Amino acid sequence: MTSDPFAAVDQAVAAAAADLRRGLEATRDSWNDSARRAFDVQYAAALLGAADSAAADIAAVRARLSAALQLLFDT
Amino acid sequence: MALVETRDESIITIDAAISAWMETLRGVWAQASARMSATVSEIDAEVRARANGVAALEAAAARARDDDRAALLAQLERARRAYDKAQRAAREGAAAREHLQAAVRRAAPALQSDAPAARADLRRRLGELGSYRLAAGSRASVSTSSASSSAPSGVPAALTSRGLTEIDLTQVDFGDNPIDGFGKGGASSADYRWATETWATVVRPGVAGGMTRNDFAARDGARGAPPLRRTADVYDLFLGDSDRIVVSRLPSGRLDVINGRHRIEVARQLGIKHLPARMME
Repeated sequence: MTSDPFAAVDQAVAAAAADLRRGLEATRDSWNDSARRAFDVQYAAALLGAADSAAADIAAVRARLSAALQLLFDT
Repeated sequence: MALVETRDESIITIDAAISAWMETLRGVWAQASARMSATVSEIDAEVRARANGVAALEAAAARARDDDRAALLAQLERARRAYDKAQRAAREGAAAREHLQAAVRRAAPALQSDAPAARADLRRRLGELGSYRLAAGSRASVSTSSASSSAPSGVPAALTSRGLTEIDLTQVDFGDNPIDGFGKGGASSADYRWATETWATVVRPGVAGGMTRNDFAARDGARGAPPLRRTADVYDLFLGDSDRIVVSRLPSGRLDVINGRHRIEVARQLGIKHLPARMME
């Protein structure tokens, strides 16, 4: 039994959130201001919030599970 | 990440980023759920094994002679502590599983409605961009077919007042003087692409709506636009006296390019059908 079974998913979800942020924020120089604001308010904010929340949740789950396993094998 | 210079490329890149995130998150949830189940099962198995160990030691201690009992009781005490830890680990594991299940529920709206809605919005924007270009093409077709005297329908007054019209790029011919690359004057092909797309999607609509060069300069200032990404420069590039596209009519009826081949080339690549130009007599 590995002591850190969520390491890979933690890294994957954090990287996905960072990629989404880069994709949403760094590619809209060609948009006009009103289009950018509208997309931000309607979609981008919610998606980035969800991505960050998912990353934080997985990190927390990883920590809890690692603590449980450490408790189990800390004799 | 691919080079993003035009609005089309931007929309496609954002859509790809959202799609990739959705796919990754679904994979993460599936992988996390599988690992959680496996880990909790292993913890539960360890709890059962330690419970069995405690029971066996209790039975052995009950049967043991007095001189063996003390050692067995010490082992039993250690086994009970280990069992207690395993039970606490099982409770922590169960709490972690509940946390994960709650996280999946929290993310569901983003995956099931927010992200698809955002992608639908991007498709709509892409469609509008295509429709705009088609409409601009239709307007400019009127201008080129009605020759040169009066202000043609659909061409902004800011163009006609400068002696410009909008030429049909399918009529342009510079096969006898092909482009041998970009980079002259410090502008790359990406810079030309940005400028030409910005003309079609930002500056021309703004000019048609009454915006002046000063308006674009103020817009650039407010956005902190860097060199080669300023709409006022795009205004100058297409409407200014020194850089405007200049063409002449050939006996064949096609248009010969005197200035502006690079802009025409990237406009064709972008699917832009018309650009403003001075028609030499």
